[in-house]
Amino acid sequence: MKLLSLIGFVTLSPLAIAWTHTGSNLRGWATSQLVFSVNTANCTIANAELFSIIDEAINAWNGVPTANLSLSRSQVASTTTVAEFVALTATDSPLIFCDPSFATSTGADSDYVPAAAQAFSDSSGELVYGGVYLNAQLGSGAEISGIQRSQMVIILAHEIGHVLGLGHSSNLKALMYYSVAGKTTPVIAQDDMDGITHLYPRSEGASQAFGCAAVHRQNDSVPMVWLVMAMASLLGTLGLGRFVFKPERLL
Amino acid sequence: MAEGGVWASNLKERFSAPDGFANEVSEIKGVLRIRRGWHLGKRFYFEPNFSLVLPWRSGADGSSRAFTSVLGLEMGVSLVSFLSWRVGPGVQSLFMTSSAETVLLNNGTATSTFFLPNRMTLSWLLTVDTGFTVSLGRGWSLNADLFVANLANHLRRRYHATMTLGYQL
Repeated sequence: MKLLSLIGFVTLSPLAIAWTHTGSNLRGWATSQLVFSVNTANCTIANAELFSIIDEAINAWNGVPTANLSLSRSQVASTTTVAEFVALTATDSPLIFCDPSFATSTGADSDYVPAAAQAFSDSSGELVYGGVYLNAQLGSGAEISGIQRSQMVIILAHEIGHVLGLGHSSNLKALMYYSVAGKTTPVIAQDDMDGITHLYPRSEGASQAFGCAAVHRQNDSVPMVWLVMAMASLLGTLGLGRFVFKPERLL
Repeated sequence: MAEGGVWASNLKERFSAPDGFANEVSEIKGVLRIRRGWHLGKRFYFEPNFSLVLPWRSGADGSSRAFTSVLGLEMGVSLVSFLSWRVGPGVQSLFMTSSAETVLLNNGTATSTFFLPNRMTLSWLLTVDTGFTVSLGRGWSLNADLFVANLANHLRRRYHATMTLGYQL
């Protein structure tokens, strides 16, 4: 049995935690069902192409099994202007928009940075405002129409990660690593999954158990059915179920 | 029954990941499991079990940890004298802890300060578990199990598998 126990402690794949958040006590957005409004007014690529890129980036995060996230894109372009967003007066956030004054708005080098993100939290750590700036500054080296589609998907998925509250990761293969070098698809690494799950933990079955249609991400109360199941399982494995069942040795 | 063996997570993602990313989307680790079986008639039995994936994931300085476990409530049937099949619902849980910390990381042009929160979170998923047990005699058995999380959602569906050697205590 000592040998069997030792097997369990052998590290066969060296996955380590390297994720971070953008705030010291960040709690994510109040809702897990975020709708990204898209302002296409100044975009330098076709709307259909942009929507397709956004959908792919969003779905990368929607596929995290342990996170309670349901992201979507609004069907119509937002009427919010870039100026309103920069002035923090936009009403529909999170936003994704193309910025013809990218360098001025973000302070980033528009020859090297194709996109940037911004997210603000209130005093409780809840994210209340945020969005993704796409570089639509004509003549700049990193303007989005000059970026390969596959790279744009990865870049946008990374920026959406920031809007959701994730900071950079020191794992160079994580989506939240600062560089997209060496990446061809928006692969969500286990490290990214852990980081986003810490912000939006999934409590499957909780909504049905409490008859609540709107699942709030912070409602992580354990539903009664799973408490009963857990107790039954623990009683059984600890051998206390003999008071209920006749114990028999099996295979 | 106590078991020890190998856990492989996110199998589909492991085999479809781009070159060099398989170990980033899927992990192969050890697993310890305890089972207890209760006869329900001549061939059928009820077998709750608890599996813990080891070692847990942790940050470089140990300030954050992530523990994966699966609680299963399986029904089994003896197919022949040495082989049985099990199936049932389960709950896969991911328990994470982290202590407040600031981290300086590259942001492309300089460095920025990022943060680890100071709290614990628990995430759990419903799973469908199925597996076979082959009796090797003298209390030993070989077990192969498949865990399917988020069965109804194609984006979130994940396949995990274990292969364990068990001993009847």
